[in-house]
Amino acid sequence: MSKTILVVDDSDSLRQVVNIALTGAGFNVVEARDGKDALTKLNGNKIHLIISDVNMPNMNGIEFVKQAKQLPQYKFTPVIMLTTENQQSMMEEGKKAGAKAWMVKPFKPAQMLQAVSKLLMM
Amino acid sequence: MSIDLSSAIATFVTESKELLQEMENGLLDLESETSEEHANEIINALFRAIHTIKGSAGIFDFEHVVTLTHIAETLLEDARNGNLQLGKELISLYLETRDATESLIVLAAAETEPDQALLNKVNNLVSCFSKYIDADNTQIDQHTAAQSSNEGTLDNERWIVFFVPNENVLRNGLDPYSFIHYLDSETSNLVVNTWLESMFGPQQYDPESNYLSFVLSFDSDKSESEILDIFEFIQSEAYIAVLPPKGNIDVLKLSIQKYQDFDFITEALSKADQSFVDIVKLLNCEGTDSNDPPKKVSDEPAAVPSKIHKSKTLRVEALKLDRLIDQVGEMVITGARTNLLAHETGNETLIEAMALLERLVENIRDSSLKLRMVQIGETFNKFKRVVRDIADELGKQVDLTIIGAETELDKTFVEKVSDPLMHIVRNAIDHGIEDPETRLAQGKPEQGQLTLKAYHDSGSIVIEVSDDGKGLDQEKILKRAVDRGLISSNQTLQEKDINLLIFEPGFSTAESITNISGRGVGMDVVKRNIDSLRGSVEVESVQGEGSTILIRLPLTLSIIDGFMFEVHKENYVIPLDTVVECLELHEVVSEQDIQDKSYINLRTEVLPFIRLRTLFGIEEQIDHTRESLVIVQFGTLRAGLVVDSLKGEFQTVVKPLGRLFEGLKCISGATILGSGNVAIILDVSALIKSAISVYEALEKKH
Repeated sequence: MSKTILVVDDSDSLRQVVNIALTGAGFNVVEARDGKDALTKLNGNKIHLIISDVNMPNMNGIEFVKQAKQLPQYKFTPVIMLTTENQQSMMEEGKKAGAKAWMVKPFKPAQMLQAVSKLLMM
Repeated sequence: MSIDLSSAIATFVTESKELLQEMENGLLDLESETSEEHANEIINALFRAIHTIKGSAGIFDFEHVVTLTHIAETLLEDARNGNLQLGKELISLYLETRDATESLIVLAAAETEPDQALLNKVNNLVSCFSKYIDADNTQIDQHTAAQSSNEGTLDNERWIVFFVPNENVLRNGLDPYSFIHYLDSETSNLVVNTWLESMFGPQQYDPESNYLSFVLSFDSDKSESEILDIFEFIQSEAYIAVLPPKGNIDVLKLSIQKYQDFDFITEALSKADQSFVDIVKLLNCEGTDSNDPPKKVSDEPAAVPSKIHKSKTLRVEALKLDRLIDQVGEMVITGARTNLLAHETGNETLIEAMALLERLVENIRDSSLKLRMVQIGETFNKFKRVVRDIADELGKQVDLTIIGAETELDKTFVEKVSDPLMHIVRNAIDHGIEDPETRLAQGKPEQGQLTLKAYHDSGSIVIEVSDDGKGLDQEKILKRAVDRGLISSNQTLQEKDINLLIFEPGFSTAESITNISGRGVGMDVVKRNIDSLRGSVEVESVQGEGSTILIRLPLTLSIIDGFMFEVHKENYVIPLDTVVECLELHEVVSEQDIQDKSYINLRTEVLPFIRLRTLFGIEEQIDHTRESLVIVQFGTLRAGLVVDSLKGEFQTVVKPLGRLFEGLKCISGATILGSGNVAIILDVSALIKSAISVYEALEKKH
């Protein structure tokens, strides 16, 4: 069974890019537009990996990951944070919140696939 | 591995357009925002918008977009941290950035390289931003700035010569141009940037004095002294500094002080050498200390409630929506037919069930039509920017008030009404509102008022554009219309009709043609566009006090509540909301007059009416005592329609007419009845007009 990845970002186009790349590589993709939306999506689906942006309206990525990690079924789910170069301090916070990896925007879809397969296959 | 991202790029374009629009609204709100908390909220939203665009643009490799948004974001970050106030100047800068970003994105999505003009603009914006960032950094972090300027050498690749001849060179027989010409022949790729000292008034201008200074840049493999030799003869009459590649920063710092215009020098340098775009940073630490305060003091009076509005939306393809509405339309028709059949059976429970079903179908119809409805606020908000820019350009002061932003209208209307509105608004500012001096002289407040207002009024949407300017000059309009041959000079027109002349093709009253409006195209296009939406335009104007233009549009184009009647065994429908009342004709008109009379006295009001049988050219007469009179209203006009018999309310799905019938007056569409028969939908506004014109023609004869 193919694995399901939750993509959280407030940009429609970014989600679409990630979605195209991941679907092309054989993953199932669930999209969410902010942290709050993402939390509800976690409950309705079985998610194997989370890719989340940091700066989002309603609930930011750090807060979302913190809350996600408190759910027993997602305690060990790997998380990739998407950050920009301006948010070095955010990376640290993300790590503390439980993110396994982070990618600096802009990234190439291929780069992201590499990171995803690394985290899922290991 | 290659992935086809074209669909994502399309999403990106729509998304960034929305974000940029949000950004523009935010910026304009920020300008008038007084509470710090809300200002921060807006800045955060601005930041997120830019940030999102930058992030996605990077993924698609839209290099120029990234460059511009990156630097815009960096500066905004300072504002977010409270280290920088966004003053009017910066807001303008961000507005320009917003425009440039949009153009860049559109071009990038079309895989077209931006042209030189746009690139220059972008570079200009980037250097403006870096100026602020730097000025800002000097204040936050003096140490880093000091360190970087201590390094001493620059990484310019081209030679730069700062050439500032003094005032008397020409009087002393030296022509600065000849030196530049000579330099050109000795070196390659010479770029000359000329600065004209504009500190003199026309009276002080001395034709024998020199007011020009230059920044010259070129490629050369000569030595510094060889370059200096070129200027040997003019050395005593000019300030000359040579900055070789990888030159000394002190030379640069010293030289730029010779030019009193900081903007010129930054621009000249960035044109002179690629690397100077960054170096502008270094310059700012030294150059802007005294004369270019980057921090604007904000003036912040009372608090206003939050203006950022977030709406949860779902994007749906317009085509899917159209299909849904079409299907709902079919359902309404079939529903009516089933209802008819149910009544024929006389089965009470079936009829009851049908009534329930009918109600549900009606609900579905209403809510599916609402899907197409959008608030007009978004369109109105665009005008904040337009008004600001036009007013600035014309040196007028205009305050825009928006009323009824939440009024909903059909999406197709929103798109089509935006251009006509733009023309009207431009005209109002250009021709309506006077300049501040005139206004003050007339005892009006310096700032002109422009109001955009939308509201529902008896089944139509009304959009009003009003200004408190000078109003329409009817005499001038009449004279012009006669001059242009639009009317003949012996024609007497009502006030209302005179005002409408401004919508005639080829009409323009402005004495001088300005950039904004006044070419005489436009207002007629406005009228045409609105006509095509089955709408109408009215003008109200009081000379010296201002004018109001009303645009009246139908609520929707596809399904209407109709009113059906019969003429010569055929069914006709008119929109129910245009019907005012129905009367028996013989009760209001005396027996002997019934055939020839074309108006009635209805409760002391003269009301023209028109017999549809006559209009449709049906010669066969029927018993006049059985005819009914339907009184209809469109806008402020009223008239009566004489019909054979009334059929009552009817749910009408408007089907467009074929091309053959498009040009027909008085007919606006057709609908299919439950029985499968076709009924013609009549254009009430055209009917009223023809009734009035028949009446007026008769009046004249008498």
